[in-house]
Amino acid sequence: MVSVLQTLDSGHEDLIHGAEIDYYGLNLATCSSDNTIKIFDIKNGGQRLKADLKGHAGPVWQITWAHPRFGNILASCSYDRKVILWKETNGEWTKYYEYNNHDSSVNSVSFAPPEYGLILACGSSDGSISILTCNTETGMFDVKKIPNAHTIGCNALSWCPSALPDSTFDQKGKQTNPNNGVAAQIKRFASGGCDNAVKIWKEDGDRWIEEHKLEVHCDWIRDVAWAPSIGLPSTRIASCSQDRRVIIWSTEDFALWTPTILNTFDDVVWNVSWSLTGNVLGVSGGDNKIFLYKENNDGIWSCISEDAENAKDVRHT
Amino acid sequence: MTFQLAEKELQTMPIFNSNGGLSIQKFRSQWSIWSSALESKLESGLFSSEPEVENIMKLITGDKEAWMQVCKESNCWYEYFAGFLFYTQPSVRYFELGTFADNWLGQWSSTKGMKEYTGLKSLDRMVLAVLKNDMAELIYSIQDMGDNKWFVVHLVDLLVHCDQLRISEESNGPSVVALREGLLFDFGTMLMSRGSFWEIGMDYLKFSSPEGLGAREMLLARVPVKNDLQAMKVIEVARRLGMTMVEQEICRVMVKRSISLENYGNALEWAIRSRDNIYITKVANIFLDHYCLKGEMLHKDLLANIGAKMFIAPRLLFLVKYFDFHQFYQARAFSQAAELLINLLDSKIIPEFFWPSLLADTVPLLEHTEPIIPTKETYIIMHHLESDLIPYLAKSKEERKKKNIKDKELNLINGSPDDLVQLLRLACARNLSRAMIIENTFIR
Repeated sequence: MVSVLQTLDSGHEDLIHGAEIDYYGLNLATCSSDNTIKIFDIKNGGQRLKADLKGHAGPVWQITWAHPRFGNILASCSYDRKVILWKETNGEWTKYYEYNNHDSSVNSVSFAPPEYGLILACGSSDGSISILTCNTETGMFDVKKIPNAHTIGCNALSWCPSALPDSTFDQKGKQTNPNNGVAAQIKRFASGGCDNAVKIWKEDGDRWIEEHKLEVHCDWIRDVAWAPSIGLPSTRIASCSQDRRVIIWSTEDFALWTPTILNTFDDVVWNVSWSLTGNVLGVSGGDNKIFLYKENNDGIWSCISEDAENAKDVRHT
Repeated sequence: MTFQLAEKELQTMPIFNSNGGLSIQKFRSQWSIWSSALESKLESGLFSSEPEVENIMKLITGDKEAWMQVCKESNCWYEYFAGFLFYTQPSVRYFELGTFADNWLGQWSSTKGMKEYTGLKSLDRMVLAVLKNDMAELIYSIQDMGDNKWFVVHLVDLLVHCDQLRISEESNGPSVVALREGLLFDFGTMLMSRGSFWEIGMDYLKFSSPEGLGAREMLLARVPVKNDLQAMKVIEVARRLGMTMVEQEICRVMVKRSISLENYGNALEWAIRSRDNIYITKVANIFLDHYCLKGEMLHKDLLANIGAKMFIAPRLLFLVKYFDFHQFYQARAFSQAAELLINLLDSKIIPEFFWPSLLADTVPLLEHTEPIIPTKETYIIMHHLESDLIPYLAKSKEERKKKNIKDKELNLINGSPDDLVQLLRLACARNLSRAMIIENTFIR
């Protein structure tokens, strides 16, 4: 049975667009149309405001936490065309890096799996996607841009989880892999845009190519989420759209993607989000409801909850 | 008088003894004889003087009306069911329970004035399911108990182990196993998310499906680690299970945390534990930078005790060797210090930014009153001066120009870099002259 664990009064003065819990589940970051980002300490059910980050000049659309092995880093993107990376040192949060090479609102940011290094993907309303890669030695960022990724704009990004590399690292300390444990794997991510399509991008050498274009939705894609993998052979992506549908795409070999329509809801679906182990999908929609879907042993998705309480409409276009 | 009669009746009640040699049939006939005898006695008004005793006797004979009367005060449907069954069907078999339970339930609900099944609470439903041997219904209803599914997980596990779990008509081995694994998986992941229960969660996940094993590794990395002690605990578990990736991850996170808290000694220890070249190099660079700026070594005791672990990363090796050099110098073991220093110069593990410091360290040795460094070694110093230091100085000058930073002090020993180069050249030349004279002198 599903029940509400905690309700938090954020103190934001305007619509809240995103809420993300960090890696260990100890901190919550929220971003809002009031141009600020707030960070709360939610250890043991408490709620204590730790920081209030001001640096954007427009509504902040999304925030995302980096893996703690890079330190305490948060990325945010906003209507003011900027992407800002914030870092915490000794309890103080400061601006670590600012990227403003987009021509219009940046709608989505997503960190790649930590095995690839500190890499951030940003999707913007100007239709392009930027990939920022941080060089660990120099601390400088290298930028690659994918122009015209989606015609009218890109709304959502989600990286493919890396498979757990088994023995790239010899236990005796001899480094057999010169990259020291960095997975020598093909990087992939999914993006959803205003052209009603979900695109899968693959890194090929030093550029990104479009591997697949998944077109089943008939209206703007609002969110994509790549399910975390725990070693299963199949991979899944959930996408939700203004056509009120949530679709789960699955593949065994990255060559053929099969869509399954999860459900058609009563109103626009704004966000989809997977649980840590990838077996529960959370869906939030404009009719103020949150649904949790779970796949049973026979591969059938069923709703395990319906929360009609405080899920307010999270995005305005 | 009535009481004595009642007592006598009760004493004559037949009791079934499985070792008694009586068959069930005989027992049943004995019982029905006794029961009908009691009924006729009741009808003849034997107990009418005491209405309450009469009531009890009615109950014993299984008089429906009397039982329904009693039911009106019952709280749940099965409260008096056992009693009723005992006095009406003393030899009932377990597979017949279902039908009797249904009948009883129907009558009970009519006395209570409610429709069958709708007014039943979950516990009532569970008991009914048990009596009717309806496993599917039972499993379904116990999942709703407010115990985070503890009961259903363990019950299913036990039943699957003794092969007693039959959900539906057809034989469904794999789906039963899948049910157990699914339940264990959910329970294990739930425990992993609760504070101190993660260790127990790990155990549960071990026994669930193969996905559970994958989930174990992933969720272990996510256990919130607040201090060194907790980190060691999680690492110990990871080590025991052979999850080197998790161990490394935690070490890396702890390195970053220590650095951000400026606890560099701790950071170095964690970096060494992580065996990750990048992180070790980063921390070692912090130590070396600190030396360049302030002229003192951080955490000397730590560096002195690194021992064999220094071979993990070249930067660390350099750091420890340089520290050793310092120790020699301070102990005035100049020739050993000089030897070490020359070895370091040739070793190719020197970070670029450290060349000025290192070469500056050669100056006192070169200028020492007694010649310590022979010609060959002096040539080595000169070689590195030209091939490494000069380009580095030029490069850093360029970079500083680009960023418009003024020439800052490279270390405490020298003010500006040009002075250093001059000083080195002079010192080398002087030492060379002394050394040449000594080496080329033949003593007859």
